Amino acid sequence: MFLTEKEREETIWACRFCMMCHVADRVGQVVRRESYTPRGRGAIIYAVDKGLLPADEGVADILYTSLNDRLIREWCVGHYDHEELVIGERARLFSRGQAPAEVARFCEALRNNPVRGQNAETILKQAGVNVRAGAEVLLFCGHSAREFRPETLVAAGRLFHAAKIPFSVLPEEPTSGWALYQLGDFEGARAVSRRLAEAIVGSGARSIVVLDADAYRMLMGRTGRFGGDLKGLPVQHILRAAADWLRSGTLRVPVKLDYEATYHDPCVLARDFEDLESPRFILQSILSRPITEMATSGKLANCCGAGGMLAVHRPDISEKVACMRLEEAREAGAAILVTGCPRCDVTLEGAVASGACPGLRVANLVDLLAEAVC
Amino acid sequence: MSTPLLLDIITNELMDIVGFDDVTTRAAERFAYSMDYYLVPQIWLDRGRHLQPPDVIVYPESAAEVSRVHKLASRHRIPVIPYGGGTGTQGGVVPLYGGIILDMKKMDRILAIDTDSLTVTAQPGINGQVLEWAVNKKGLTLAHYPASEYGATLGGYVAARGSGTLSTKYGKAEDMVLRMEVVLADGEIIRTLPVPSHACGPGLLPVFVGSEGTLGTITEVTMRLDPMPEVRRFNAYLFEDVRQGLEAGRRMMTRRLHPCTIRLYDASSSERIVKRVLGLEMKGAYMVVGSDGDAESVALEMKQIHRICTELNGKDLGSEPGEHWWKHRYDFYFPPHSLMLPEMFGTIETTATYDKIFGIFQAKKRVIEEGFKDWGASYMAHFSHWFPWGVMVYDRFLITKPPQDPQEALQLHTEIWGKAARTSLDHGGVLNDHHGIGFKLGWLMPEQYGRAWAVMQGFKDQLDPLGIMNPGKLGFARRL
Repeated sequence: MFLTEKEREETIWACRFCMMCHVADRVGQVVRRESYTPRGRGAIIYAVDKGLLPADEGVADILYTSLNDRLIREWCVGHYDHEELVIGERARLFSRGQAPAEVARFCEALRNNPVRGQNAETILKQAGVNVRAGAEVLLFCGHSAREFRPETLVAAGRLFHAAKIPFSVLPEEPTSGWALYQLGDFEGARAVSRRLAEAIVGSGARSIVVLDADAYRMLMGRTGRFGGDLKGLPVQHILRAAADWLRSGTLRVPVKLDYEATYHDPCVLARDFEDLESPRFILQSILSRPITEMATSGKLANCCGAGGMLAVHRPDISEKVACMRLEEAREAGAAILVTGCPRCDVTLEGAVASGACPGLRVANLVDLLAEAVC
Repeated sequence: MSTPLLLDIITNELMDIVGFDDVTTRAAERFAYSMDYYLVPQIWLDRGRHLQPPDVIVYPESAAEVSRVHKLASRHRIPVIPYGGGTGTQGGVVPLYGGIILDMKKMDRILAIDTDSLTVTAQPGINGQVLEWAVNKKGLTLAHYPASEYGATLGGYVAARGSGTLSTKYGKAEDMVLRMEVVLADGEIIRTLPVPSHACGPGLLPVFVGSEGTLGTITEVTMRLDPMPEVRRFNAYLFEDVRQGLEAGRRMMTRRLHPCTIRLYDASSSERIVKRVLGLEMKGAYMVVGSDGDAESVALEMKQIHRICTELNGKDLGSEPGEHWWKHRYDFYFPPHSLMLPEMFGTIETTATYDKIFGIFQAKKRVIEEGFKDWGASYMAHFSHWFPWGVMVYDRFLITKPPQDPQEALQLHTEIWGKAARTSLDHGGVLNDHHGIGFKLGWLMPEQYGRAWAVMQGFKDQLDPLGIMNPGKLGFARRL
């Protein structure tokens, strides 16, 4: 559990007596039931603790119908960590075998095959991007890019080349453990975190650049908390690295792109690591016109729908949340919705494919940067 | 409901009306709807006691569905409790007798924004802040900024006669509502006249405004809008005592200025709340005054306000504390700043004319602080909703260590409320300005209305003869 007992009690106390974040809670806005709001969850967790309510499948459904995108914590004046509270409760349910069946199946499959998705090295080689085994910099790709967004992985590789920085990838890259952590399978997260750390340390890399925002959060702290020892290797998200490359002149932009764009801040980058500046600096460097911000942006940006691994339990709600985000981009007048995380790309593109906001293009900032510099 | 079989029968009939996905009887969901923000159920829960949950929760999507639910409830003679954001503090949506909770949040569409007449028509389940953001995009504002804005619904605004932080200029919800569609207890769908100003007999609209779901379910609301002001300015003043501040506010209002807000905190409030939340340390009575509109008018009005305040020795604290208050006006209501258990507290607000308000303030302060000295009761107040004829005192009692025994706690709570309320009534005040009645204050309504209570009960009996609509609230006799 990542909240101390005191923090957990204080968070339950705060949430069960408060409705001030209802308007920031996308799940509540989609489901439109009191029980699915942070207040409802707080009250329900309290009642289960007190023995006033059985921890039945209704409780499990409510706790797994949550985004955990940390917007609630950000919105809250007291910054109570509702999201970590929910993850902790999921872990309790999971350990008792009370997680919803599809969640248990998903976690089991991931535990059994943590190296899912395509091989990063193969993807890059097929695209003519060379990787150098034993290079000082390791690019951690993440499952979303390897499986669903290989073009973003290739674009990342081309940026390294353009910056003349040799890099390696893990030949058998395991999952970061983010999904298991979010879904409350802490045992699984522990096993994966150890395996991941061993693979990274064993690669001989001296630093890690991460393409995936969720994996970035894991590697920046949770991997260690789950027992994976990275031996103090420095970790950087690719957008921060790329912004540095632009600033130092390592990367140059010959011709700016003429796109009407807006930027979706991934929850991890904006709220956990407060890096609002790097993506905007990159966009400013590569676009001929300023981006238009959406109604919510930065640390208060709404979720793309992928938060909390919601799609495992309620893909319908996840898609509606994604559609709401697309609608914000459309209202901002953007032709391209730029994101900073392949998981966001996949979720938002899924919503576009379902018919929401036709004509709106979803692009990873790494793709656009590669288009501008390579 | 008496038997599981009957509950199953009724649940299936409800599913036939609204669809399978829009009905739930799950324990966790019923639990979440067994309370609102009223302290007493929370004390009960805090002490490990069970609350009465609703039997079933229904999420209608149209007035026609609401109508059919009412007809079903009438046939089975079971309670119907319309539910908006659940942000009330008076127990207004607590299902005292079980029954059907009608959660209106799926009826949340904006139906029309009339930019000629400056009105918006919407379904009642729309979130207040979402509605405000939507009209803001048209350069308009509802100008209703209650502390519950992030969670409350439009239906709740009008059903509880809510008030916002700028009510002094823009009025309360009752002043903003122009027309409503209401489903009566028997399922009949009616609409009030298109506009509220007429000479076609007594107004029907005011009967339902503030009715808290006891006379019907609101299914559509038309509200007045205002243009977004060109500028909105605030300034803060510090008075030696609250009486000078009250006089300053009275002069502003009776000279017919139109400040958008006047918030005057007594010394206790200034010390506890203002210091804790806004970080401002001061001794005396703190006042924030605001004005909005076109720049020229605002400049002139702020000048007149300044003259009045300084005439009464108000120290000009400048605009920054005032602007800071506006920016952080809702912070007071977030934990850990908000009042909540383990403290026992209550907002015993009273509205009265200017000649009576200071007397009420003094008398209630005495009643609370001296009458409940053994409990270490404290009293604090601010004056935040001003009218041409008077003002509301938003006063609270606070006991930091209430009894652990729930019955003893309830007894103390009731005693304080009884004494505070009767002090207000004895001094010519009206018990409540904008929180509503629910079951927290229902028991005091016959006393407040006197002989006129029979008229109020008559409305209820005529409109809801079976007594299915939100029983136990507003002080109406239970007929079920």
